[in-house]
Formats: sequence, C-alpha cells, structure tokens
Amino acid sequence: MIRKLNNGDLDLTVLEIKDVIDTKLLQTFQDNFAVGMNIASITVDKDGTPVTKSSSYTSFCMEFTQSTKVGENRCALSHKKGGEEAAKNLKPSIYTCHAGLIDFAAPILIGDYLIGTILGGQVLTSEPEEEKYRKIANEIGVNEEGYVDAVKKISVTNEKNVTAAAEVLYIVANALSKAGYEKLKLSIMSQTLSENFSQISATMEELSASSINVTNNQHNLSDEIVNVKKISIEINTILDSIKSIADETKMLGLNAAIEAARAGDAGRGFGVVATEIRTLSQNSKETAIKIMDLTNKIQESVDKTMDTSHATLETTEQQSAAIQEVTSNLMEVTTLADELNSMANNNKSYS
Amino acid sequence: MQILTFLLNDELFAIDITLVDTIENKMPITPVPNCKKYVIGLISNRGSVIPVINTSLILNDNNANNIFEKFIIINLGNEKLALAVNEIDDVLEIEEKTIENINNDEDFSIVNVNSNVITLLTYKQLKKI
Amino acid sequence: MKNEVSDNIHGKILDQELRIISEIQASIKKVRLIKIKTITNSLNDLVSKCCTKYNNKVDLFFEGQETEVEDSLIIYIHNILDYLINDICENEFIAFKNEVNLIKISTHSDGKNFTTVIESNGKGFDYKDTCEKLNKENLDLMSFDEDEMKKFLSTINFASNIEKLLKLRSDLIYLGGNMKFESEVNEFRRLTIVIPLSSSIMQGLLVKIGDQIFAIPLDFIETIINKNTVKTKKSNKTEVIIYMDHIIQLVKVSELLNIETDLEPSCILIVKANNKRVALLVDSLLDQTDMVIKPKHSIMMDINEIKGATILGDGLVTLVLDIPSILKEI
Repeated sequence: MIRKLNNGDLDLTVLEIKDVIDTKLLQTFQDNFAVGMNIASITVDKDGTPVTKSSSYTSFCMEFTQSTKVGENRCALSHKKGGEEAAKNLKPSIYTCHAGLIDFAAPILIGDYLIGTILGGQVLTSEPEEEKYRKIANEIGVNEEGYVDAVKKISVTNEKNVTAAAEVLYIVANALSKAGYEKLKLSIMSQTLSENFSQISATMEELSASSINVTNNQHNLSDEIVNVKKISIEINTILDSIKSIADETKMLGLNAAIEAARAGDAGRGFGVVATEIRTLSQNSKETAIKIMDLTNKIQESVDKTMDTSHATLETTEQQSAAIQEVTSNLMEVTTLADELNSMANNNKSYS
Repeated sequence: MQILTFLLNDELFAIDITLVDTIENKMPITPVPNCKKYVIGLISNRGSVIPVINTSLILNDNNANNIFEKFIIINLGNEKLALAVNEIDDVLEIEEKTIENINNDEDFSIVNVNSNVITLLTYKQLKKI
Repeated sequence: MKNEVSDNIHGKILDQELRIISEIQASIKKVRLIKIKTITNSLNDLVSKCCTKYNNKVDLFFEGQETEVEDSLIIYIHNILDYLINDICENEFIAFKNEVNLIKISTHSDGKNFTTVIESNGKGFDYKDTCEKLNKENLDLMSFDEDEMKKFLSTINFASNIEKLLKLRSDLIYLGGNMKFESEVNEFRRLTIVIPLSSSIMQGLLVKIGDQIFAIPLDFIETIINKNTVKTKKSNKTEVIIYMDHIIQLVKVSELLNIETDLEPSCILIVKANNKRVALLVDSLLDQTDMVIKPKHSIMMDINEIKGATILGDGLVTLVLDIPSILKEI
C-alpha cells in the first residue's frame, strides 16, 4: 500500500512488493532464471503470501510434500524460518528444509524494511538416502515408493551454485525493488510539487485579488481623509465667527454693565444679567478656542494619516505588481512540474 | 464702586464706570489738521462727533503701539471723549478704600485687585485733556 | 453765487430736489417753533416775586417777543433767564441808586443763531480793571478755562451760585455758542448769549485736499475756477491770481492745514467773508452736500481753521472749514 507519511516520505511499513516491482516482469525473470539455473523459486510478500506463481517447482515438493496438510505445514514453517533468518541478516540465507532439500531465502528490502522474500532452491547437494525419505513419507502421509522415486529426480548440485543463485536473485530483486521505489518516490514528489504549486498559484491569485481590494480601500480612505480635512477647515471657519460673536457679546455685556451702573439701584438686576452675558461670551470664546485646538490636532493627525496612507498605497501597488509577477512565474513552474509528473508516470509504466 | 478695566500696552488700567458712556469697536477716524498730538482724530458715534485720544500718549508712555482695537467713550461734563485702548477687560467691583495714591498725587491712583496693580484714571487726569 | 458743479441738467434737477427738501424741512421746523412771548408772563411773575423777596422795585422790559425758537430750547432759555433775573434782582440793584430799576431782555434769531441779551442798569463792574486783574485783553469768556472763569466771577464779585453760570458756559462751548459780558460801573451790565440753533442745515461743497475730504459752506463761495485758466503772479512769498480784473491772494489750503499732498492742486475756490476775498487752492472738487454742522469740541478750540464737523451719508466725519477765521488769519 502506498501511504505517505506527514513528512512527505512513503510509509515503508505498509509498502508492498507490487507497489515497487512490476509483478509480470518479476514473474518472467523468475521463470527464466529458474529454468536456466535449474532451481525452483517463488516470490512472497512479507506475510508469506505468494505474489508470483512458482517457477520450476519439483514434483517432489508440489505433488508429494505439499499434498498433505502435515507436509504443507512443515513446508510453511521451514520457509518462515528461512525467511526470518534472511530478514534478520538482510541477506540471503541458505538452509535445509524439513525434507532435507537445500533452500534459500533472499529478502527483498527497501532500506532496512522487508517487503517480501524470494524463496527457492529445492535441490540436493548429495545423493538422497532412501530410508530417510521413506520415514518422512510416512510422517507426512504420502506414498513411500512414489516419494523415493520423486526425490531421485531432484538435481544434485553443489552448495556454491545454490549460494550463487540465491545471490543473483537477491541482487536482481533488490535492484528492481530499489529502482521501483525510487520511481515511486519521484512520482509522488512530483505530484506533491504539482499540488503545491497549484495551491500557491491559487493563494497568489487570492492575494492579488485582496491586494487590489486594499488598493481600492486605500483610495477610498484617501478620499475620506481629504473630506475630513475639508470639514475641519470648515469647522475652523465657523469657530472664527463664534470667536468674533463672543467678542461682540462681551462688548455688549460690558456696555450693559455700564448702563446698569449708571442706573444705580434700579440697574442692579440688569447688572447681574450683564455679568452673565460676559461670562457666557468668555465661555463661548474659551470653548471655541478649545475646539479650534482639537480641530488643529485633527488636521495634524489627518495630515500624518494621509502621509501614511500614501506610503501604504505605494507599497500595496508595488505588492500587487510583485504578486502578478510571482503568479506568472509560478504558472511556468507548475507547467514544468506537470511535465515532470507525467514523465515520472510514463517511466513507471514504461519499465 | 464699579470700575471698567482695560489694557494698554499689556498694562492694566481702570476707570470709574460712572464716567463711561459706552464701549465701541474701533472704527475709521477722520484726522484733524493742526491738532494736539494726542488727538488721533474724530469719530461719529450715535450722531455725535467725538475726538479720539491716544491714551498711551496721555499716560506718558512713549513706546505706544498704535494698534487700538476698542474705544471707551467717556462723559466729561457736557462733552464726550473716546479713549483709544488695546483691549477691554472687565467690569469689577472694588472698595473705595482700596484705592491708594502714590506720593499723595491725586492724579495718580492705583488699586490692587487679585494681586494685579491697576492704575486708576481719575476724573482730574481726564479733565486735563 | 455761481456753482459750476450743477452745470448739467442732472445737477439742476438735484439742486431742485435739495431746495424742495430744505423748504419742507423749514416748514417742519416752523411747526416746532415757539414764540418767546410764551415765557414772558412767567418771567414777569418771577420779577414780582423777587421784588417782594429783596424789597425792590424792578421793571422788566421785553424786546423781540415774536422771536421764534425751538421748544426744546425754550425751556433752557427760560431757566437761564430765571437764574439771571434772580441774580440781578438780588445783587445788582443797590438801594436808592436808580429811579427806575430796569431789566431789559431782548431776543432775536437769524435762523442760524438765537441771541438773547439781558441788560440791567445796576452797579455793573469795571471792565478795563477786570481785564487787567485777569491779565487778559478782553473778556472773551469762551476762551477762558474753568479756573480763569471762576477767577473772573470772583473779581466782579458775582454773588450768586456760580455753578449755573459755569454750566451755561460749558453748554455754550459744546454747542458752539457765545457768551460775553459788557459793563460800566454804576451804569449797566449786559450779558449777551448766542445759542446756535442745532437744526441749522447748510449747503456745503466737499473738496479734496491730499487724501482727506473737507466741507466748505456754500454761502462763502463766490466762484470756482480751474487754476490753469488764470494768470498767477508771485510777489515776495505770496502768490496772487488775476481774475476778472481782481487781484486775489492765492492760498494753498494744504499748507494752511499742514497736510501732505502729492498732487499739484488745480481747483480754486474764490471765497468771500467780512468783505475780504481770497482764492483757496484745493486738489479737487467732489460734491455738493447738505450738512448739519456739529460744533467744535473744546479740545479743538484753538484750531481756528475748523468751524466744526459734519457726518456725511457714509457715516464718516468730515471737517468743516471756518472761512471767516481763515480769512482773518491770512
């Protein structure tokens, strides 16, 4: 199973032979090798389940030893042990099976991970002992005579040949798996790349759109600021008239006080009114001055804001232009990644 | 008694309010040829023709700045005068006994209000104009 | 009097209108005028009371009872006469000096001024002596200051309350009137009071001198001519013009008034007052106007060239030249 880890690498714990090696190719090789070397072989995955059909299996094994349950179990156990041995050492292991044949197990590895095993052998390194095989026949429950005849048909070869065969299979299988693995990795990477670029492209477009938005908003803001400035100037004009009205009121109040003083007692009430008018005009004047201070501050801050917003406007306009450039560059790269991806996929199917 | 305080060259002066007719904003002054140097000219106010006095010169202040904003129109007997001043301040109530004369000169009176020493213009001083 | 300003028809119509307005104003004035004789009874009563009070016998004699005067003025005049009669009855008539103690009040008005003279044949005072004591050439009371006035009154032993007399004098100063005493010891004492009628509306000519505008009463103007049309001659320091076979002294008004002027003045007004003729040189003529002349303020008393001031339609104060005074000066 092809599964990606979070860091982008493939999860090797679930990787299988069929993920990295073309099974048909493997089968062809396996068959030809078996015939050429006169040695049996089969490929199994890490659970022991065959992924290829057996090549040049002897009738001894196929028709006799594995025909009974007991025999089958004994074979499976042998194979498992051999496989474990091989997996442990990460190299082919030569062993004698329960039936006395010489077997080998060559591990197929990706890095240090076992993804499968090529099993094979089914040869003898010396003439078989009849008695032994009669015994085994009885144990596993097969015809003694037939079993002895079958065993005599098994080729006798020296251990060196077996070792060499195991080595060859080991090397070739692993080379194939490694190549397959690399291709797989490449394929996945280029897909990831492609996806990433598509995402970036989409993000850039969003950014571009939002920066245009910002620019528009900036323009609106600038307009608003100019408005505020106009209004504050108007306020100042009104304040000037308030100040001069306050001045006139003060004069009025003073003249009233003068008249009141002239009127003596009768004018006392009027004098109070006059004082109130003067206080009022003074307050108006002070208030007007305060407001004027505030509007001046507003104008100052507005000016500063205008400067800032002009700067921002320039920046965002630059950003917008930059984003456009990046987006177009990205599109080029995405196209390349797509090409790469299709190249990688083509290679896989090609090999 | 009540006094009207005003500013002349950043100094505070005052005048008895009973001498005051009205206060006015500055207005165009018609110059009078061959007149006394402290007479700036004539103005028309409520149908009367009133001479405008350069109050700074009267008070012997020779570095007078000639920007007068207001006129104080005073009654001296049957005639009126307009005293040109920089700014009108306020109408204050004072006790007559707080008025002091410097060197027993009846023409030069001062009064102390809120730690401001204000020169009070007297009727005598004004009559001399 | 020729007036070149109203040469065109427009000017003539304007003149006509002004004349009509003046007539209307005069008629209105007439309605408000009261004859002096309305107060004569009251004054007679007063004299009777005084006689009783001071144990005297005084005859009151009126001249010019038909004189008309404004109602606002009549009360004022009544009060003055009241006061003066009292003073005379109390102080002037010494026992057994006169056969008949006489007070003569005469009034007359010439439209511009109302004059009243109150004369008594009581003790009087020594005119010349008083002048010497006061160190004055004449008893022109209007030019005295208050202290001098008080000194005068004490010198002639004026016994009554002087405040009223002082107020009268200051009123007259304000109005631009006149008050003078004439006397001979043990013969008579005469007080002449001249009160200008406040609603005298005059016609005047507005002229420009430098950047200032002045008014000249039309009554004094004989002719207006352009300087370029007359021959001028300089002799000593004075310049004269030759006009209609007259040699008339030419006076630059700007020099008289010490006004700076950049332009070379070209407008000549030939004025006449008290049988004297002078050619006044001004920058330009502006307009003819009706004006109410407000009397001079006391502060300008010694500026003889100015008679008073008038307020033009635009609210600006315009000074009125005193032609008779100017002519006296030259």
